[in-house]
Amino acid sequence: MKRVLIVTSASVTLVAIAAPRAQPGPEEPGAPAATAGSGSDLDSGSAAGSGSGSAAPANPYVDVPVEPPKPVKPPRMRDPRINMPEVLTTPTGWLLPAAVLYSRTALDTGGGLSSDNRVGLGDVAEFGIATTDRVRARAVPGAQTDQIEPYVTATFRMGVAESRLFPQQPGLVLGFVKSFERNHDGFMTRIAELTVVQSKHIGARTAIHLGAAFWDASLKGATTDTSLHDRATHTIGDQIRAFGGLEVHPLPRSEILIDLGWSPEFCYGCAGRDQIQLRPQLSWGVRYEVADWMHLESGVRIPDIGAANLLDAQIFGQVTFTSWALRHAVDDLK
Amino acid sequence: MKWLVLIVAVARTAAADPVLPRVVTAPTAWLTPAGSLVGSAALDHRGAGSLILSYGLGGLAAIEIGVASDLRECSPCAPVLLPHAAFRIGAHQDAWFDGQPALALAVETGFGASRASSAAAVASRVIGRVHVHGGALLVDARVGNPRLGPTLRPTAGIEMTPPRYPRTTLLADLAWEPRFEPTQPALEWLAGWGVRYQALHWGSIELDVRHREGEGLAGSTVLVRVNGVLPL
Repeated sequence: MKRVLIVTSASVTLVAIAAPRAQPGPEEPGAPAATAGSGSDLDSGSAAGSGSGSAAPANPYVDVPVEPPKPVKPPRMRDPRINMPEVLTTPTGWLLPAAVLYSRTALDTGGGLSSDNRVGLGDVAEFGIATTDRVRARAVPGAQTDQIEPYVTATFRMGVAESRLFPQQPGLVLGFVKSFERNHDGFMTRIAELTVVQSKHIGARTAIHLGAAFWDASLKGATTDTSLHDRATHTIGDQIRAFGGLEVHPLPRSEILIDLGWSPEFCYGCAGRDQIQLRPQLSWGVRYEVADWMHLESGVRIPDIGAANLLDAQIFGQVTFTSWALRHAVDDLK
Repeated sequence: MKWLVLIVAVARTAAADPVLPRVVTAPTAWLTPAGSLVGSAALDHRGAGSLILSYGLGGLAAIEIGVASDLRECSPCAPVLLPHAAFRIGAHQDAWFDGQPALALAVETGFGASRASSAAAVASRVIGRVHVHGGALLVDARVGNPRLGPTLRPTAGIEMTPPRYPRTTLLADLAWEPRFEPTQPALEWLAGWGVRYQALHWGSIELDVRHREGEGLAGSTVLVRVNGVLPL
């Protein structure tokens, strides 16, 4: 009995599959002229009038291809404003949103060209590759400093967005920047920076950033092999620095930015602590939102504000592009 | 006191800020309008000249690049064409309170082994048909390694449009520029005066005369300058 049932079910299934295949589809060759043919016959009146039966009347309910209704996509909401991961030179406590791309290219009067490319990871982290022109070197004490460039770094930052855990919670980010080894004038140098920074909006038009950095750097040459963590020459205080920045939004599309950060300076012909030093760097400028996806930034950077050397001041201009395209593509896949 | 009240009352009627960043040589506190390009090209009777472009950034700042032969290299003294870049950040007139002059902080820096940098804090105000400019200029320069060192000097300028000639403006200013002596940079004053004619609503032409410290009257420079504003 069971065997009969199985055979019967299989037969029914095969018939059900084969039956539609036996009928030519509306688009298949050999199918009766579904639209154009039947229509023309009807128009001419030959089929209906003569009754010859040479052209069967078409059934409009069968022949008209029925397309399934397309799902209506809700209109995409305007992308929110992105809080930038850097003020001008110092990091902020804000992360890029998930799958948002960020690219910044800068040029300054010191001849420096830098680039910074990042991607937001899951709203809790971001990864980036950059070339920086902030690392400088001098041959001997008192000589002019030159930028070492390109100086390639990789960045990984993770943290918690502002007000995510509780109201009034500042954005908190732990970041790590590590450079590739760089050979300049016969000396190998490397830098690394561990930062923790918090950022907080104060009202609708102001934001403040405060952070601390733990620096390391190494210098190797013919007779030199030293690093910032070498306790014979440097104290731990030489590695720790505070930094911060301020953003003010006086106009809807324009921001005033000020920040104070640090950058390493190598001295190849110096001795002891002077071989590697951290120099305070003051920057101020304006960010102008040309479009949602494009910002122009320009300002002044004084690489060693402690030296108060006006001739060292650099005017810089930079353009920043942000893109939600990858985020939208990811959302569309869901 | 009455004069002060009168000045403020007249100043309140000031229209939108002018745009040109210099009188003849002295800086003004006017900012390039957001998204606009202001260009100036000058040529003097000695064949020296300048070409300067300024782009307005968000109504708060302007970035400027250009080449100019305002500075002299002395052995003997001759104008030297040097590239420079400048960044100006500031506030328009009446932005913070009625009667407030336009304010600007401008940093300008040159390129090369012999170069000059300056930082200027300037205030400008339209008072009726007169534009008044005043500020302080911090200048430094270098010839190879020898440096001038940061030196503070005043700067001032005035522009006046006679009522009968609304397209014509008389200019006068006082500024300071470094001079590259063979061994050590020095600072010299420049006094300028001239006439600007607003030929088009977007462009003007100037005829200026500039006197330098240490030069006789015969050493004065006569220059023609054209200015244009292009909204982008």
